[in-house]
Amino acid sequence: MNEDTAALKVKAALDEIYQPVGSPLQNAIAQIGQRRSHRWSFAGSTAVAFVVLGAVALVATLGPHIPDRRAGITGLPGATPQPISRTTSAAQVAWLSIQSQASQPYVIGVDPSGNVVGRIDSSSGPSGLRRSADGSQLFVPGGENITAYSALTGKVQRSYSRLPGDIVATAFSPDGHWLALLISSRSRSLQLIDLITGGSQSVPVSSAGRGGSLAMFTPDSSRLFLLEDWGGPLSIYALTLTGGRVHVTASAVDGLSGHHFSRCNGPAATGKVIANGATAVVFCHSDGVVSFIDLLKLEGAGSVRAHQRSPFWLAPIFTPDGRLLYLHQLPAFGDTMQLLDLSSRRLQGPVPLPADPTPGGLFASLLTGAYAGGVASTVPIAPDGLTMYSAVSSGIVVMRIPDLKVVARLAPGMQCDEVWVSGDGHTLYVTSANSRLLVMREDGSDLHTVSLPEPSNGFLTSERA
Amino acid sequence: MMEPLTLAGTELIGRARRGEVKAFEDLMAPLLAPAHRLAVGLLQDPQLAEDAVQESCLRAWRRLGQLRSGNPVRPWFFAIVVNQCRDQQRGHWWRLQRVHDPLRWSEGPEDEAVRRADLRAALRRLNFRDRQVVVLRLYADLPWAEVASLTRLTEAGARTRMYRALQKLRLPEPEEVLT
Repeated sequence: MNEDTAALKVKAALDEIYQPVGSPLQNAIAQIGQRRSHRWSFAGSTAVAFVVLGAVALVATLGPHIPDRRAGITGLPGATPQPISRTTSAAQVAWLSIQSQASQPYVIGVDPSGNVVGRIDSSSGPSGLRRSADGSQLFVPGGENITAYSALTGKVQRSYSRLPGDIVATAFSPDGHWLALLISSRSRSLQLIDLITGGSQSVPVSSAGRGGSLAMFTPDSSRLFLLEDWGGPLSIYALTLTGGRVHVTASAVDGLSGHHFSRCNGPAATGKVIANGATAVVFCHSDGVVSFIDLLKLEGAGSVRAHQRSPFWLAPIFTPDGRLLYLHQLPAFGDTMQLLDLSSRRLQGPVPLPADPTPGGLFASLLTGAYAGGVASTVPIAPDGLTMYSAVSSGIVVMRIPDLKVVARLAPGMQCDEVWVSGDGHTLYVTSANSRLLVMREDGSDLHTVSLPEPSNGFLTSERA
Repeated sequence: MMEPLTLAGTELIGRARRGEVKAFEDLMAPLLAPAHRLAVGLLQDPQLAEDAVQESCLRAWRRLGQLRSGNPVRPWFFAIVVNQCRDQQRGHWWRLQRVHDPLRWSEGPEDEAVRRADLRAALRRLNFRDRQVVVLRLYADLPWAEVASLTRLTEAGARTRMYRALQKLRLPEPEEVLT
């Protein structure tokens, strides 16, 4: 073995993580100019003034032909660390949908040590399964009942009666106490199941709409909002949970009694309650409009358009603190990640994305879940809201919120398809090629693999809207 | 690798020292990519490396007065980059710790990737001076004289250090290192 051979090995190892950069380095010079003008603009000497002029000239020189890939992030609010609430052992177990060749699809659970802890077969298929907001249980709807399984073991825990009809919307209260079901039969009803006592109550909710329905709890789990759009005027119901009872406290219909809302022109909306329950943000896949609703007045509170080429192919990602909404565009339409500041209700413009050779772009893994106007099956944000993960063809990219600056790359060289972060944020689960599941700690250490029986269709998560 | 030691390079240095930023840009332009590659080798993080090069450019601009006309620019600038990487590593070691080692990957087509990851991990475990020698010589392809200059060692000292570093990396030591 000679020096050349050793050099080849070192080069192979380091080139795997090396990404040539061209304009960003040139851009660095421009940023130096900006720093110089900022730092020295208060000095009075002729020499310093000369340098400032030089720096400004440099920026001016580079500006027209060198895009500032970080220009779009100026003035963004920093991410607010969120408390970690899903700390139970059950919330750390990943549940994956398995596409079986021989039988119905089913789900399996894998714990942070890489052990398969359970399997759930469901006649309704994995698409009917829901994971509770606290991550501790899985729910499978049947014709008359809803069966709850432990997310720790996959074993049946109990069964809850449900009203007959189609379940058109579901929502778990963030505190894990309630499961809300919007059920459509001859009329529409909201059934609220007490997951602790097993009790159930329901209230009728009339609606002219027959399309997109959305149920959203406030962060403190004390209020619930039902929103229906498409096929009729938008209507919204406000319900409160006081003393263990649910009450309709207000309702509003677009165009009636002076209420006006931004409409979604299709049955594909997703939303989140923000600002301590004062505002709802609704993203409409059909037209790409993000609308705001004042939940205290039940009034429309403006809208923002993200100006993406094909809103139908967008993957919306809300940050846990409710301050930002990322909207990623299918690469075929531009691979643009637009960012909305939900606090100021402003479009901040596109966030420059790190370059990555993965076919489909850095966020290709979201597209399966976001297919046809849906919502990404996993929201690749750590529960503390500070980092975002992306599974790419050469590992996992860890990015800082809000500017998506890459802070680490994990499992380099591994082909990764989709990533899920455990409830406490300490374990990463990644579907990989050849029906493999990678399990590792959040820093990429202690990585091991699980051979799945058959290919996976993705994770079953609490975050799914 | 381009080395601006020519008359044009000397002229650029003079103009840059007089505050002509375009001259400074021209002086730095051919060095940025190899400097970034060097920083990636030392930090194992392309983004941190980019930050390091950016900061190095700022330092270089400030220290232009220390660069004598006629002296080579590359060793001078690379020394700034290496120092910046050392400083950056101190400030951001936690980030480096985040970079992953698939220690228990099972046998399969990814074995080569695992070996490369193991080598990167082993490089990270080297002390900075050892890593410096390995990266400067084997990754940045610098001549021994320049490696010695940047590491403030004698050439023989640099060769010995690499020999020991390769033992720590469990790479067979280059035969000619000690010759």
